Amino acid sequence: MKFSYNWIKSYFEEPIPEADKLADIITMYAFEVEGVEPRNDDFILDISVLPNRAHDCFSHSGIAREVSAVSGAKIKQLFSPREFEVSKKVKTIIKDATATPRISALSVENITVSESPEWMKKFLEAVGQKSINNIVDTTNFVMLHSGQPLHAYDRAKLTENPPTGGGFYTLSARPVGKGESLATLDSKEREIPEGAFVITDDNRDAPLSIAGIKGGAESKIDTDTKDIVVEAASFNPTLIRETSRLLKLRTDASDRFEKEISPTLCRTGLEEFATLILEICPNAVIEGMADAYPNPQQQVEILLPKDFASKKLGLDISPDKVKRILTSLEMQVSEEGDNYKVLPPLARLDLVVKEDLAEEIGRIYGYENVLTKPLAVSEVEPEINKIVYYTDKLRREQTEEGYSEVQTYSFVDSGEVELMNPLASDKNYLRASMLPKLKEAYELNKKNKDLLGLKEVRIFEIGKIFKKDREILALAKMPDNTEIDLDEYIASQPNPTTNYLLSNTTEPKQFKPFSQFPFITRDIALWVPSTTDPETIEKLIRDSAGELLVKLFMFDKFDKDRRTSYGFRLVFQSMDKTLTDDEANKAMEQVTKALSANKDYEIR
Amino acid sequence: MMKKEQGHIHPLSKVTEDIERIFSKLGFGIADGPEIETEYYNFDALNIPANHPARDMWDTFWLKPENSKKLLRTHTSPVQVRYAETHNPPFKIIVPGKTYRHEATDSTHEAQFHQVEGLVVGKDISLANLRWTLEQFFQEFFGAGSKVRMRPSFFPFTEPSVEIDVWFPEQNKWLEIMGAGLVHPKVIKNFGLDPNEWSGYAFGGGIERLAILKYRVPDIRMFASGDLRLTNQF
Repeated sequence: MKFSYNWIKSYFEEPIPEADKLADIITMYAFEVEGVEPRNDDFILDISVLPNRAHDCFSHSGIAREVSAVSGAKIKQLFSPREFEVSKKVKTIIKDATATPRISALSVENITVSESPEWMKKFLEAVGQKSINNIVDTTNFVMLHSGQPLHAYDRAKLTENPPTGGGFYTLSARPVGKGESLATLDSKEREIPEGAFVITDDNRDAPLSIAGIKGGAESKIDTDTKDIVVEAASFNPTLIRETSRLLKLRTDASDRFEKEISPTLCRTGLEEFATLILEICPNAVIEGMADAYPNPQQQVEILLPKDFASKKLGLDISPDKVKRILTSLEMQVSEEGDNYKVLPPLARLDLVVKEDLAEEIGRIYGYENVLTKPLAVSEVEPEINKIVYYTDKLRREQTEEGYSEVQTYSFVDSGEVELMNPLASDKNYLRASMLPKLKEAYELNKKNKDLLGLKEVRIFEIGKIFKKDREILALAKMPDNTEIDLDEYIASQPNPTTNYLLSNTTEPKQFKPFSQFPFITRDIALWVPSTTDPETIEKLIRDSAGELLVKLFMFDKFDKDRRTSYGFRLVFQSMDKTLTDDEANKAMEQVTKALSANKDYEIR
Repeated sequence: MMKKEQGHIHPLSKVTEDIERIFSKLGFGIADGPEIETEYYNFDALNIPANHPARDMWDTFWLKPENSKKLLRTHTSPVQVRYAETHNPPFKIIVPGKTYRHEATDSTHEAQFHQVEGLVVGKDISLANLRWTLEQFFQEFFGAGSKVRMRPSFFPFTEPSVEIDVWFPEQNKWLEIMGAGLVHPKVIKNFGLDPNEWSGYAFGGGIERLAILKYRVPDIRMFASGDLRLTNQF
């Protein structure tokens, strides 16, 4: 999610670290910052807010609070709480408290729709939010500042009841009716999936917006709008997630609601909107607030032993420091004997058990302070895994027989176990046998036999095959075209008593890239005195053949009359192109020349 | 005439054996489990409930029929639950194995790959034990110059959760290698244990990633290609 550095800075009186340094600090103590991009006079931080912190950190104020806790910079209170009169014009009604735990609305009169102030436009555009008008922009600003989505309706487009003036405008929410559709703000007529909720103009029971996702076009703010109703609601996250998925529509609002937000943010969102709108439209009147909130969120209380964090994190941290860290995260901490009683802020839905607090303490204090402590030595040797023992053994036995191990894909186009959501239509089954893919691998490797320096290709794979009711570990081999059930085989073997076979710790090899272009082979045979070391011949060939020689191996040898005949195969290949016969011939000329130079060698 | 050709084992098998060898020296056992798993063991037992955004962290292959709730395991963590249900603590295990994610394939992403996870359950297990274990492992696996660092992360089955970065002397930088953390008390309960008495840590990472970093294989798709031009280099 994109955040503006300048916007974050606006929460602080004192200087905060430069953008790059800030990104490092946030990465090491809070969330990974994927990138820092300069943009005009600002920097855009791309922050991967962790999934369990969306409820408080999909917002600039949340990130600012993190910066404050982590850097110690004191954060400004940008908005003061406000009192509201109970609205005499707007009501909100909850019909399903599980789907919509809270519906609140702010009634504001006598606004003037115009362009937003420059400072607001700048902040919005920095994070990719289009500026529309002062009313809509303020709702978006509040969302990007506090994490609470808001939606503004033109009150004149709602139905007053009774209609004679002095009646109420009423917002509610209900499941969408069969076949009900809505023209949404982005000028699309949308059929709303069954089970989704709509916010309604309750007095005529007509849908105004897709709850928690997108507003309707009919009730939107126009240039001549005078009175508005600003909705701040709380929605069941599963409902929003499912609706968004079925609609194939994700919005800034749905992104936040589907991760669950504390319903307490509805109130602060409206307070912030009121403060801003009075600045922007000095003649506006906050007529009042409507609120339906039958089951207020309960304050969580966590009992934290004073030494819990030290023990769990494996670091030295005094109870006093623990208290200071928790307080810096806006928690209320009081003493209760050897424990702290901790009240996390209501917005922090992720703080439920003392382990959650240990994580807060650890990450703010810094995981670099975690000490090192060996594990206790167990008195009992762990049991030897029979499958691992015997597959390691089989693997080695196969290589000693000249078979090399390959791995192939489990996804195939026919079998006994079918996937519901394959990646491709010809990868919709799990393999009931490794042989078809192993055969393909065999053919591929046969083509490259000379490049690999092999007389014969022999390959095997150990892996699972999937039958209708069970999966079987099997060993398949080519060119033998055999596949045997290893589960059966291993079960029939004695339990291993010594530790399993350990591989040699040879020096790790570095991968050498191989060419995708065709190779050319040439053979050369020669008589040499029987006392000659074949390595000498090989060296001569390598030194003269040039860099196009990628493989050299001996394929023939026999002795006669104190002379030995060697047959060598040379494989030529280029990393960048297809070689011509001519180029191969030229290289062979060099080789022939070098070998002929020795009077004791006779080329056949 | 010619000596019998020696075959080669697959580089992933080699890396897995190295990992098994290093951890067995530290007293770890090895556990294994099925590639086809139930929703319970792969998700619910690990504190990843249905309809929760946390499930988005794992794109899943589901099997027909729909109501069977069977899937291809997205990590080897389900084996930890199976093992803990049938063995008394304290214990230390690693679980290497094939895993699947419903992801588009490219040079750094595969739908079929291998993971190795570790689980230690005992008394008073802390992040300091985790740090020690991983330092021991990486110094042997990558060499004496390796260092480990931890930074904040999130997994539903651990709390605290950390990302583990390893210092690569030859590339002169920190590389993200695996996730880890202390086992969440809810998961300890799902193991059938009392979280006030028993605690644990867990870690998990991709074996292909370790092989790519150690051997500099440029494209993850080579591992399942069946191509001996890869295997026979090792």
